[in-house]
Amino acid sequence: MQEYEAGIIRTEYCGENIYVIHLACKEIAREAVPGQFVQVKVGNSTDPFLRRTFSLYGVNRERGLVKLVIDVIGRGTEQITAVKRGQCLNIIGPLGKGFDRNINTSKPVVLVAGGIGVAPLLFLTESLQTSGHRQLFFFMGARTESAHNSFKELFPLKLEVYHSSDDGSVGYSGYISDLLEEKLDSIKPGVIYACGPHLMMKAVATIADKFGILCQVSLEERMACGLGACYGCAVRLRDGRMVRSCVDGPVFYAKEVKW
Amino acid sequence: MTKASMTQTLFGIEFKNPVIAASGTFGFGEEYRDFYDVSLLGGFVTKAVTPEPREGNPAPRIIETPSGMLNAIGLQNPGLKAFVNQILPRIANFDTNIIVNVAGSTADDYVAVCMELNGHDPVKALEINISCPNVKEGGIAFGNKPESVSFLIKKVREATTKPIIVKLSPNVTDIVSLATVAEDCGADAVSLINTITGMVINVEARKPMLANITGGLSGPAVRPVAVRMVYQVAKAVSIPIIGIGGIVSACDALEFLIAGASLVQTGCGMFVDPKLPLTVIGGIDAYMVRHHLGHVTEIIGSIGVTEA
Repeated sequence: MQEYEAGIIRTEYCGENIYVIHLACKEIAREAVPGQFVQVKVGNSTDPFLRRTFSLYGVNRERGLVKLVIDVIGRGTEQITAVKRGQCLNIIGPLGKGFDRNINTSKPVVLVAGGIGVAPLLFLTESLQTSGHRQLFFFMGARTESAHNSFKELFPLKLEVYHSSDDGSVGYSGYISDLLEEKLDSIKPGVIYACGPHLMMKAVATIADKFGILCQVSLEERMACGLGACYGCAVRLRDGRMVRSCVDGPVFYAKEVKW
Repeated sequence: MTKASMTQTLFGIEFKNPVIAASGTFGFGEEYRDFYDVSLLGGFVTKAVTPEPREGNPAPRIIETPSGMLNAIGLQNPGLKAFVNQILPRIANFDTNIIVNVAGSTADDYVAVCMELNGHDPVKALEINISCPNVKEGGIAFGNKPESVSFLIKKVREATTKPIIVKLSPNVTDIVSLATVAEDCGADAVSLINTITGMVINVEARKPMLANITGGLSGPAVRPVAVRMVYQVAKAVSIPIIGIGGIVSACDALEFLIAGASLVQTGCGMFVDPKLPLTVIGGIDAYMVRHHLGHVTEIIGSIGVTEA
């Protein structure tokens, strides 16, 4: 892990305040694995103060490119997405522990995303497809049709995706975890990977436990340093320990986490 | 960088430069090693060590604020035994001053940590944390009254022959009187300031943003408060002062030195800029060249003030 000045190759707007930023950073592109994240500096002022945390959405090792998905929710993300092509973002990475990609590899794989949690799971999807996995089932939950439309831009062509929306405008009407539970018996996966809002991951963890399926989640705790120095992003595990999401995670086995 | 011009010997310890990494922002000295060699620092202060392991406060523990952040970590640490047996052997060889931040719930807790660490040569000094605002017992409970500061520091003084640095809280009416008490009770130095108690509310949920309800404010937002306190304490005590509070540049560090601090600590600024201590060291050196100063001590307390 190191600090880099990464040049912006291109920024795409997907709608609904969702952006994809392509950065040139051959070191991170070479080292990073799905589930890892970067800490992005916001401008040169002290306000906003802290770096912003983003899971990697993908890398292109040959071209030395790194992709991030950014949901503009405040001044920090607004400033980051406003940086022009050719200029640089100061980023630290790759950080944290990624997904274990070698769980029950002979069986189907299920990925469950809620909103912006889609980013690390699509990086994982790409990685699994590259290593020859063909039985991938992707569950994508978002609030509305327009949110789905913006996330649609992020998906590769060959992927079976089940959708749910809060208002029923796209796919299943209701929670993505409920749709997942309906489909699990027919898919019979060897592993479930999930990333999204806390309550969604908690629901997925409960379902995985009920069906006896291994499940990994990428937690989205608020972080300050991202380096393990501040203990700000602590997560309680079932064995009682408080661990740092940034260095001990952000990916954990769902059964380890005290939900 | 001209090495000799930065070196100072304070309370029996040689500091190769005046920049130290602050407790709670630097782990146990291992987290930044990918970025630079820790031996380039004047020293670092470990996370607080308590006699028994502490799990700290529930999450969320941090929230960003204008030019700063609130934290309520709650002194999470693996305890004295794990520090001595597992961590200290790993960091003992670092060619820089290891200062251990000492905390506890009772005076006996502080004494126990100080006595044990007295026998460990790699530990060069102890920073006595009487200013943590985020724990129910100990911390600030010892640091907000002259009697309790006196009670604790006298006990700690008897428990160790290592230099003791008393870390003072800004959440008091008169920090100068507390610094004076610490000096009178045998403190070798004072470090200030710890964080300022603050609170942020989630308006939509009508709930505090931190699980602990309140937290400690740090970052550039607190710097003028810290500089003012260093300036006032410097006029009242003759022991060295370590200035802490919102340093994110060499210029910020120089404010503390000019106000009267002999050393400075960088804290949460390192979360944003891991190499900040090196930038500060380089910037102080450049300042000295620009102002034709032969030694860093020529900056310390050099403020020109015409009192009204």
